[in-house]
Amino acid sequence: MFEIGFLSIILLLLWFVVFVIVMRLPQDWAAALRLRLVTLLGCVVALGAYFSQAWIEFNPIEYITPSDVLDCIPEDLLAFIVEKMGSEQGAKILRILADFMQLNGWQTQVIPTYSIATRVCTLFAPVLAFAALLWIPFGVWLRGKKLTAMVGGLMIFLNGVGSILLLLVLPDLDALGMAGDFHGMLLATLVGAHLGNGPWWAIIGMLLIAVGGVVEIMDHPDVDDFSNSIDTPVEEIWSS
Amino acid sequence: MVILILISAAFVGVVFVIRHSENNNRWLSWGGFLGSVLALLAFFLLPWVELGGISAFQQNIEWIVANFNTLDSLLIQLSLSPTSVSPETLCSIFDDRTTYAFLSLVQKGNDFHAWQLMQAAFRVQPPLVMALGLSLLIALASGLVDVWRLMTGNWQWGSRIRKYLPLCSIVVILLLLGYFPLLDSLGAPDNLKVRLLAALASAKVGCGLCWMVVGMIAAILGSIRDWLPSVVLDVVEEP
Repeated sequence: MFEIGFLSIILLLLWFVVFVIVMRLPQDWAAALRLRLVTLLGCVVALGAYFSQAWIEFNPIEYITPSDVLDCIPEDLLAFIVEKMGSEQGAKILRILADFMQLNGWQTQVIPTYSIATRVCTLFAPVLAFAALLWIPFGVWLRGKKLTAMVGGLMIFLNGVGSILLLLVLPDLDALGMAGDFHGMLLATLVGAHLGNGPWWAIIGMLLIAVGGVVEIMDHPDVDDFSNSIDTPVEEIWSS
Repeated sequence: MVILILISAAFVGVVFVIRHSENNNRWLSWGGFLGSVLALLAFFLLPWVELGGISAFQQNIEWIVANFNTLDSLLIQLSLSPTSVSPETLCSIFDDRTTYAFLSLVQKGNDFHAWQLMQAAFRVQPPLVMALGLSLLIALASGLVDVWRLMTGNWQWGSRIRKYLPLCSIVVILLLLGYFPLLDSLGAPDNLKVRLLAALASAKVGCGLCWMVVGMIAAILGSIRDWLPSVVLDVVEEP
């Protein structure tokens, strides 16, 4: 379930290099950046998930062994799909099924049967990850300011909502946007379409960025080490 | 969207109640109890898998029958049958207890509740059945502890159980969410027979699991007192 794509491995290695460098730097800005490594990790995980992990897999090999996926689908069914969806959309989805064994996050956008809501929900992960990535230098620069705390709150809210929305559209993603439709489900069954691990990694990435939002709120120039904040008794935080 | 609003409202409500209530214990127990009741209602009453109805099933069967040559070639291509398929061989392919369990539920024409899902998925996906059973036990135990506390006013009663139930709840919630997109195929997307039956029944994932998770989260929030007693127990105890 949690196998990692090549691009994700590269991104995680890059993050580790940044981690090692930042941990060794003595400057103030490095101390601030150190706290935001969790945001950076979230961005890396979410972007890696969207661009390199499988969101939808076509794996008929689990129960059949054809070399070409379309060969195992009867012509009558193909004709019915084309007739029902229209020649343009039908041809499009059949071409996708024939050409790909898996679709990454961005590639799922080419599936014509997904609703607008599903498409928007799948876009939350890369958009929020890019936004958080761009914010990191500003967060280091403006640490302790009211704006930083507001952005932190926004990061928590948007990533929390984005994670839940992505979770809610997973059944629709899994069913290629044709849940409850007999012919669509029959086609999906025959090509062994099922959800890949990409969305799960995207959700983990967004949750890490939300944790980064907490860092943005709690970080202050006076707090040069995050452990100071962690050592604060819970009762004190609560009463404040 | 409704679920999102409810989760946010529950969270804000718990924080508000803790900060402003004179007796947080009572409110927290009520919150936890209502969460457990919601989880139990979701388990027994809400649809976890929605079906197209018996008419849709019949229509789909009719389509298959009308295109029997399609199914014939299809099954040969799928290597399920080495020779031409007759209705008898077709029946033999689907002749197992899982199929019967699934079909008997489909024939009733109603949506699947969690307990029916357990019945249907018993042989194809035991971990899903185990997670469902655990969620039921946790909701029951959590609800009973809160009821007892509300009845006796002893807010410390069952503190140890109530402290560890949220941990179990989180594990079970994660397990169930892992199966969430796969519920329409009984959590077994690699089982061709089950997927074909699900397609024939026009099955799709229902809202039951979402509401169960909302209920379990409310029950977890209701146990804040057991985790942070110094924060929440600084109130006037009821006689």
